[in-house]
Amino acid sequence: MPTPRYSIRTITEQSVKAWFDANAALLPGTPVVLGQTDSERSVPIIIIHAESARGAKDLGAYWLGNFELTVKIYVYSSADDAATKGQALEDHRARCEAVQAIMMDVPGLQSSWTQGKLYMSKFDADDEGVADRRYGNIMQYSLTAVYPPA
Amino acid sequence: MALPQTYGVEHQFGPLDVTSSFITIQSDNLKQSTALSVEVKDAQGRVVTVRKDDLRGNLNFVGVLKQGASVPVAGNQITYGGVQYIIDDVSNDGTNESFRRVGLNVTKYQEIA
Repeated sequence: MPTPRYSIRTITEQSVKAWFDANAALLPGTPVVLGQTDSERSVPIIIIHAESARGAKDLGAYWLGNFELTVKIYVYSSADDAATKGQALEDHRARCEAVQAIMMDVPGLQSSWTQGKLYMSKFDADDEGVADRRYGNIMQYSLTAVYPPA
Repeated sequence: MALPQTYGVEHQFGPLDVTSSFITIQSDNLKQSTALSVEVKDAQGRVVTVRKDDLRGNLNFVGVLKQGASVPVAGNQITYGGVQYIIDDVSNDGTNESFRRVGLNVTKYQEIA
């Protein structure tokens, strides 16, 4: 049994990444990294970031290790990708579709949860942008999860 | 020194049943009561014995109507959470900026399978 961690955001990032790793075939050649790491960043890349965690509001003052989380998944691709130039945008959108497909499988994500339990994952938004010849999407999800039992 | 909280208490999340064929269930509300309540009072009128019997389960659940789905008819039976209920009434609400919401009030009678 893994040692319980003190941060639900760490648990969340690691669990979501575990589910992405299980579906790596959908994202060929695209590394998946966690938000707060010093790993080298190059495009294409997917960044999983558990941006914020709050005590589950339904439990009021006694949240008892239950949390609501905002998770943002960043998908970045280069318009000048030497390997795929000419279809870079199509490839970028295919990555975004793959991310959504992976996250849509909530039972799969729940099965990949490493510590505690994921109650539910809800899709909030998919925002697309472009800057410095990079395509970027931010997909936001709301998750509700609990620490492992004592 | 306070210790960090590293464990959680798991709770039940969401509706009891999310498998409805005609709606995507949004919420539910279950109540249980007894239809019979017999009281015995003493000489001062205070209740000294109560007999409660004939369990009655009342359930309300609401969801968004699926395209092409048939709305159940009041008086028919419906299964929710593995229990068979009789439909008391059905509401079917829509606006021009939202999905149609269907709500059912149903009852489980103790002696009716």
